[in-house]
Amino acid sequence: MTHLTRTTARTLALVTLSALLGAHAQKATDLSVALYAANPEAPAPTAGWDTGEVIRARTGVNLKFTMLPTGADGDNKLGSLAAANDLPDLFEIRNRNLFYQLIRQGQVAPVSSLLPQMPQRTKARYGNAMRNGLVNENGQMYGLQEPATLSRQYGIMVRQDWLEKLNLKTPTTLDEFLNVARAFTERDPDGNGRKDTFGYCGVIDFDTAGILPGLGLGNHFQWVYGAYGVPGTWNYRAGAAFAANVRNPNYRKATEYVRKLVDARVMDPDWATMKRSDLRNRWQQGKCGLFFESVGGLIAGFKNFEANNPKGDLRFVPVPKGPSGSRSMGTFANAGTLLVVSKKAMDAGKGPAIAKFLEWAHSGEGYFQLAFGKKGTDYTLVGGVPTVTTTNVNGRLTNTQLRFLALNGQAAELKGRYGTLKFSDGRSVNVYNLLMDTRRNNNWIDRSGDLVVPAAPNQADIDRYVSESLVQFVLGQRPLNDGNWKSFTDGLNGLNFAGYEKNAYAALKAGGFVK
Amino acid sequence: MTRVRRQNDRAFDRTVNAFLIAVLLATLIPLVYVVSVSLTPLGQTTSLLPRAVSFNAYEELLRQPALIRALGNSVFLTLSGVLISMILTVCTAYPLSRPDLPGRKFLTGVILFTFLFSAGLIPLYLVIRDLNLLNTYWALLLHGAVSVYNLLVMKNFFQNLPESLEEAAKIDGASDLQVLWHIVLPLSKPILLTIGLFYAVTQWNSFFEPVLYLSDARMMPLPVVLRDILTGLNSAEYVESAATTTAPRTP
Repeated sequence: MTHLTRTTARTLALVTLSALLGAHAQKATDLSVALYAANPEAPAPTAGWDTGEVIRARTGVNLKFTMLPTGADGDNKLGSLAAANDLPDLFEIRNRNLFYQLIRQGQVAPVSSLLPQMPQRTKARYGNAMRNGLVNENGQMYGLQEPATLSRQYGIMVRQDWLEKLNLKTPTTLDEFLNVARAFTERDPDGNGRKDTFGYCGVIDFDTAGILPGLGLGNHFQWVYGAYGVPGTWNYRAGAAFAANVRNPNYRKATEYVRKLVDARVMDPDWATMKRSDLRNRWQQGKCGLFFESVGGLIAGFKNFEANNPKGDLRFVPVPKGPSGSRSMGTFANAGTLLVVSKKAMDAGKGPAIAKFLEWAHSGEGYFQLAFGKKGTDYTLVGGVPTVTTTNVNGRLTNTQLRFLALNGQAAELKGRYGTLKFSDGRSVNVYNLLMDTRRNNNWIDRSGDLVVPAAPNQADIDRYVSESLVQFVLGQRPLNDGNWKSFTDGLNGLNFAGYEKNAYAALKAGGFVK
Repeated sequence: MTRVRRQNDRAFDRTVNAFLIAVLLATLIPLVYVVSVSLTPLGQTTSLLPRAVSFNAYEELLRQPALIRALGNSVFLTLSGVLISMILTVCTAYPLSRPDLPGRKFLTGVILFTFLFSAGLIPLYLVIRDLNLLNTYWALLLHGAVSVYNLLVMKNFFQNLPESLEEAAKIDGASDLQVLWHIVLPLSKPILLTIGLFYAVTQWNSFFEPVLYLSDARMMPLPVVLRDILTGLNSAEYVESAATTTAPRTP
């Protein structure tokens, strides 16, 4: 080959390569995606982010990922972006009032046209008419409502070693629960010679991840209201006599039971002001005989718990029954991440790229990459179960920042996420089994319809009024008698609570959640 | 009579001092408690003073790469923010403090107007976006770089400096800039330090602006990252993040 031929060949090769690269660059679509990060404390993705590179190579999407802050800050950010017509192409919304507001403002696009473009994802996730009803407005589907992959992971845990030490049985009724809590408080179950343990640890907590709180004292006391048949905010089974549970006489009885727990001094005196992280400190320190916790919280606190309580043994107790036999740990919504596409993105023709990206994230390589990280580095498959192997925790967490786009809640996935905890003395706890137990055994009530109930204009006032009044009742700051209870329920009229109920009924009826 | 009054005075002083010391101690309790909690070994019961001291919490925190980066971001934003704010504030306050500035009252009025009536979040966002400052540190440094309150405090301070010093400098041939640099600023150290501190605290605590204007999480300052860590601690999905760093790895 002559010099000239070699030069020509090289030039041709370069031209061809450039043309290919150019074609590839032309096909790549810039996509801005804003999500609540799966691992908020993990470092942000860097320029050479593994997952970003894989997404670009497989789907032709140049992903620009923004982590949304939780709570009001995230809502304010999205609200500001919407007002400036600057919403991300694909984003997550947790505040449904904001979601409906954006629909009315014409800021978000109907997504029905995307469904045929991602057949596997649609079949697995968006086929439930009731769930899709949560995102329908005027007959159009405005959001991709993912099913909940991890709801009902909460339960009441008990120190089994304390039960055995004090020769007590697992409580099954409210009365037995109080007796056991009292014994855990008064009979020095940790044997340190001090009365420094609490029978029941719970806090006022309204986090809605996988579990729906009702008006009042929050998730950690829903099981008490469940024992009286009034968990959650609404009574779905009352038909035309639909009303809020707070109007039911049993609601007062449940409140009286919480008051009993407080009066018996079986709870941490700071419970009304403590946060969930404080509660976690308490049980990890070995201060709680019974406590409300998620399976995830158990895994996270296990190491500290074992260090402080080498002989400690934790189990879930079945949710206690009330006087009439009712029992429920609380209410949940079968609705997870809500994804929304901005109208701007759809108008710009980014729909197919969004569909392609989401379909890739649903199964196969995309699913594993987003949910578990880089194969061989971050995880391996052991008998079909993804098993974390990495020592570079932060690297893995960065790779899985988008995992809520991928997670599906199937058995193999949950087994991978919830493995076995091992005590140093050889005992072990299969956390996946615990998760299944708390799902099956606690009579959880699906109240997904709560999500379509429009917030009252004075929702914050209503929430505060009910919550503060109940705290006053259970702390004894306000005697719990007929007069005061009537005064409390009468006070709802001043907040136009009846109007709130009426709107709730109309929305639930329209959505097919009540008859 | 005099002696009696003095004894009463001393008693009064002692009472006041005792009261103020009590207030001081009460104010210190939460701060001491926070330090104590941070020094208590993980898992042990916390108390006002730690029974044993451990720096594990600090080690754990400093091991977080996101935190170190955020700390660096905050330091950078605070230092550069204070510098920019001080330059702009001094350069605005000094001319406004000179009685011979044409339209001085009008200019002061216009500035004061912005103090009383804010444009609101969305117009501000639009301005930042249209200036192409989104996702740049300039959005945080220039937005609110001059605080009207600080500006007016500084202007009043400059106004109260003796005019004769400026006149003397001008007779010696100093320009306006030289008067500012060699006469006014050296005499204004107290106000410069005070206003500088105000700016530093504001910039250090800045939380919502970074959340609003920045989309690259690597650029976030410390308050945002600390909030994220706290969010993780109180999250129901706790296991997804912290479990892998604090609990034994699952097989």
